[in-house]
Amino acid sequence: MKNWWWKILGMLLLIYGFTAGLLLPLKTGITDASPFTAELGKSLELRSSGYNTFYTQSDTHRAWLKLDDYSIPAKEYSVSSDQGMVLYFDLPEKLPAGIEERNATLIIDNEIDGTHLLPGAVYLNDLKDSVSNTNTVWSENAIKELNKQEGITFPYRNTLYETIRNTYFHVSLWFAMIIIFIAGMVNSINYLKKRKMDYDHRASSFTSVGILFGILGLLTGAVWAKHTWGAYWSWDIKQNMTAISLLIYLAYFVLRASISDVDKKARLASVYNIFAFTALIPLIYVIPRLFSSLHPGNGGNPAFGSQDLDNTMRMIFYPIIIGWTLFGWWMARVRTRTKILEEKVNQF
Amino acid sequence: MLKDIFNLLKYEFTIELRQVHALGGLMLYVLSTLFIIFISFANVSGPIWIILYWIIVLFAAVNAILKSFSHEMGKRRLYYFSMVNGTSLYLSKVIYNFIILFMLSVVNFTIFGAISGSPILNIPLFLLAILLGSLGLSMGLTLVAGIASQSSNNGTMMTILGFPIIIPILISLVHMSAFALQAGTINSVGAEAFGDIMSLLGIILLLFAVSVILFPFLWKN
Amino acid sequence: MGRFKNLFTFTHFLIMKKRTVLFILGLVLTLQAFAQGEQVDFMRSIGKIYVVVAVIIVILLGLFYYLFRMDKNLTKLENQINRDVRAKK
Repeated sequence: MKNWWWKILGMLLLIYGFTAGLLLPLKTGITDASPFTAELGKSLELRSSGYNTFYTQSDTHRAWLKLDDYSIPAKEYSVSSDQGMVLYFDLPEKLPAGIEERNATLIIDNEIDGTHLLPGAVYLNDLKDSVSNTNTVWSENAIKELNKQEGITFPYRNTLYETIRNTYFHVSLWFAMIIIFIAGMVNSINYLKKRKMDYDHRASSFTSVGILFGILGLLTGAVWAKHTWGAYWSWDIKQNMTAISLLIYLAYFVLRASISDVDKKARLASVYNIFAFTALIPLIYVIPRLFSSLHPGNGGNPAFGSQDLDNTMRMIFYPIIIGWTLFGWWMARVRTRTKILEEKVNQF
Repeated sequence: MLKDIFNLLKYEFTIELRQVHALGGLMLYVLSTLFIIFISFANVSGPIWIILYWIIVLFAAVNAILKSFSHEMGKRRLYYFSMVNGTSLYLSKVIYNFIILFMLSVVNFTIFGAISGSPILNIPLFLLAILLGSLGLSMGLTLVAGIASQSSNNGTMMTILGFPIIIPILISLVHMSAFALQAGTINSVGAEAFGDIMSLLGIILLLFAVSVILFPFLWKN
Repeated sequence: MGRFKNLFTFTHFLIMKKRTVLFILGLVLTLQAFAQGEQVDFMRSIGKIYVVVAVIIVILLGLFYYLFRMDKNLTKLENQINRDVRAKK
C-alpha cells in the first residue's frame, strides 16, 4: 500500500476528471438566430434556437436586442419547442445616438435556463424607404433582474460547444508533459551528480513518456483544431513551438542511439537533456508572446485568461493535470524498472 | 583562469591563421550560398532578405562551430584535458566562435548588401542584431558542438541537436531585424524592438549560464 | 552499437522503425477518414460532441501503443532470461 497510494490517487483523479468532464452539462446558449439582418424601423420576426434550453418549462420569457448599453425588449414571443422560440421586435427608426456598432446581441432570459445570449445575432441595416411603421425607442441600461441558471455547468462558447471539454483531455496533457519533462531533467541532474545508471534510466523513461504526451497533445490538438479553426495544422505559433520542442526531445533519443558506450551515452544524454529543457523555456514562455495566436490568451499569452477557464472548469482541470502526471509517472516507473532489469540481465 | 583563456584563444587563432584554408573555406561557403540565392531570386523583398540572411549565417555558424571542435578529437584532446579545466576551455571556445561568427556575419552583410542591395535602413540596429545573433548562436551551438563532436557521425548530429535549440534565437533575431527595415537610429527604435532585444538577451544569458555549468561534465569522463 | 555511423545506417534506422511510422500514418489517415465528406456534418452534430470522442480515442490509441511497446520490451527480456537459464543448465 505504501508505494501504491499515488498510483491509485492518479487513477481516481483521472476517473473523476473523465466522469465529471464528460457528464456535466454545458450552460444554456443560443446557437443561431434567423434572419441575421434586419431593417431599422420595421418589425422583426426572429427565430432563435437554444442550446440545452427548456423553453416549455418556463412560464414567462424576456428577450432583448442589445447595442452597447442600449436595448429594446421583445414585443411578443411564441415558444415552439424546448429549443425553438420565435421573437417579435419592433425596431426603432435609428441607431442610438453616438453608437456605430450595428451587430446587435440577442439576449433571452427565463427562470429555468437563466440568461443566455448570442453576440452579433442581427445586423441592423438603415431604413430604406423612410416609412417607419414602429414607434419604439432604445432604452439605456434597461436589462435588469436577470435570472441565473441553477446547477453545475461548463461555459457555453459559440463554435466550441461541447468541445470545451477537450480542455481536460488536450490542454491538461500539455501541463502533464511539462511536469514530466521537468522530472526527466531533475533525474539527469542527479545522474551528473551521482553517476548512478538508475538515474539515467529514469531520465530517459520520463522523457519518453513526455514525448508520448507531447505527440498525443499535438494529435488531439489537430483533431480539435480541424473542427474549430478548420484545419489540422494552421501554422499557429504555439503549434509550431510545441512541434519544435518535440523535435528537441526526439533528438535526445537519436543522440542516445548514436553512442555505443553506456557511460558516455548516459553522460552526453544527461548534458543534452538539461540543455534542451533550458532551451524549451524561451520556446514556451517567450516566443509565443511575440506573435498573435489562435490559442486562448491575448497576444499568444501562454496562460489562460479568466475568460477561458471558469471556476467549475478549474475544479476538474487541475485534478486531471495531476491525474495525467501521476499516470505518466507510473508508466515511466514501469519502463525504468524494465530498463534496470535489462541492465542486470546484460551484466550476467 | 583568465590567463588560461587568453592562452587558449591565442593558440586557436595561431592555428586558424596557420590553416588559412579552413577560414577561407567558410568564406567561400558563404559566397557560393549568396551566389546561389542571387541567381535564384532576382528581386528580394525586405522580410525575405532578412530571413535569407539569417539562414546563411545559421548554416555558416553550424559549420564554423563544429569545425572548432574537430581538432580536439585525437591526442590533442588528452593534452588539453591535462592542461586546462572545462570552464576556461568552454569560455575560450565561446569567445573564439563569437569572434569568427561576428566577422562572418559582417562580411555576409556587406557582400549580400553589395550584391542584392540592402533593404536595411537602420544600420546600427541591424549591427546590434548581428552582435546579439553571433553571441546567441555561439552560446547555443558551442555546447551542442561539444556533444556532437563526441558522438559518431557528428555532422548530422550537430544539425539534429542544434537546429531545434537555436530556433527561438533565430525567430527573435528575424523579428528584431524586421524593425531595422525602417529608417532610424538605435535610440529611436520603439518598445517592440526593445522587447525583442531584452528577450534575446534573456535567452542568451540563460543558455550561457547553463552551458558554463554543463560543459565541464562534457569534458571530464 | 554506434547505429548512425553514416547516412545509410541512419535511413536504415528509420526503415527499421517502420512500425512506428506506419502507426502514426495510420492514425493520421483514420482521423482524415473521420473528417471526410459528409462525415463533417456527423462530427459537428450534437454540439460537436464527437470531436471530444475522437480526442479521447486518439489518447487511448496512444496509450495502447505505448503499453504495446513496453510489453514487447518485456517479452524480449523474458526470452533472454529464459535462454540464459537454459544455457546455465
